[in-house]
Amino acid sequence: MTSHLTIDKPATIEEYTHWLHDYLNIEITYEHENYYSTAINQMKHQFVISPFWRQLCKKLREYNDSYLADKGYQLLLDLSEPEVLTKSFMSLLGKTFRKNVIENDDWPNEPVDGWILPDNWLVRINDTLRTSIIVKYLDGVQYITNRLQTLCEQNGKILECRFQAREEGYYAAHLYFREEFEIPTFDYWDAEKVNTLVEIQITTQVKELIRALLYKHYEKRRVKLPTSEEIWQWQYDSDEFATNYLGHIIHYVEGMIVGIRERGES
Amino acid sequence: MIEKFKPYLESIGIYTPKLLGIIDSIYEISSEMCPEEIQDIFVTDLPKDDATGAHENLWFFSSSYIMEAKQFINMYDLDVCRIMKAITYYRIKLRDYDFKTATENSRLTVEFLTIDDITCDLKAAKLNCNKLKDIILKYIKPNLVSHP
Repeated sequence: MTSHLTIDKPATIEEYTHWLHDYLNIEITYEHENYYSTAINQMKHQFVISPFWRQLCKKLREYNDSYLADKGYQLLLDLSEPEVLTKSFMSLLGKTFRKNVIENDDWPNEPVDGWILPDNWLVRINDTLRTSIIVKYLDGVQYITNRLQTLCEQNGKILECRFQAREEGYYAAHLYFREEFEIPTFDYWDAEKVNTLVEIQITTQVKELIRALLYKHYEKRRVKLPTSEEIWQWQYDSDEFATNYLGHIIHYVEGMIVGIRERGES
Repeated sequence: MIEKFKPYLESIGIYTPKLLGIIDSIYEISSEMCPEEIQDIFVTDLPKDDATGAHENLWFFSSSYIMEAKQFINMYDLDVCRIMKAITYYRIKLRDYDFKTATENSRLTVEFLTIDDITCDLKAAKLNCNKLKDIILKYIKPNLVSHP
């Protein structure tokens, strides 16, 4: 007989799905994947035609024009409408694995806010719907954040802002606000309303390039238990060492660029 | 062209030029992908609280094949599967529907499996249940085989 207190943490997604079945009686099947695909696509469709998103896209041009008038430089890399992306099912599952297991300090008990499971993961996971705004200069991140804060307030939304500065060299602003969507119930018989978070990432164009390089390493590391051998800061011949420190260097250089630009202006 | 399917599409709330254009485009591609002439159409719809429906997947049928365009409003993801004497199992689920009269609360889903291990899943809400019933009787039931 195994004591609940001695359960080892699952080390991979596959072990995690077995653990979900064995300990929480939840079997992840293709029905979950199909349902998630249906729900998230419905949410995306509703979001991109929503008045708030339409207004935000229009406002981005105004913000760019204001910044140009203030600073003499373009704010945005691209003036076209940002693309709204959906999280893949495997990525969603990976994130619940991270939250329920890897980062769960109360293991084997549920985390402080409870388990993230199929019946609540659309509401609990904060980036099933996300978009990115790429700015040309470092100060553009705060510039856009402030204006989106005002836009959200005008629309009765609460915007949560998290400025990310991770040791892996990842720097960006992550903004979150809640939107209500109507999606089918799991049995598809009826519709239900869900209130879920939408994420806006704001970062600079060079950091966006770095992110594309280190993304695959980052995602691989995030969905398994860390081991003592994997201290990337000492693995100087690894891709992670190069790209992660490049992220820090780029952030420093971008700060210097804005500093020089502002000293030039004054 | 999808002129022949317009009455059905309008009956399930698809009448805007944009949506009709998307379906027409998928029909053209499906016609090229399918070895036979397309005879029929079905749009999976999802229940919503208001009078409108939410449309998910688009299906085309010929006598031997079935084609599915998943999430057709947002992307082009098409596949073709044979069904002629190739269905080994099908299951239907009904709510507030007696296979005769559909109401606002009616729901019908059919899931079937083919010899090639392909699973297909069609869903209908409200009056669209009648169309799905027709699809089941015309394309699924006749192609059920006892010995795969």
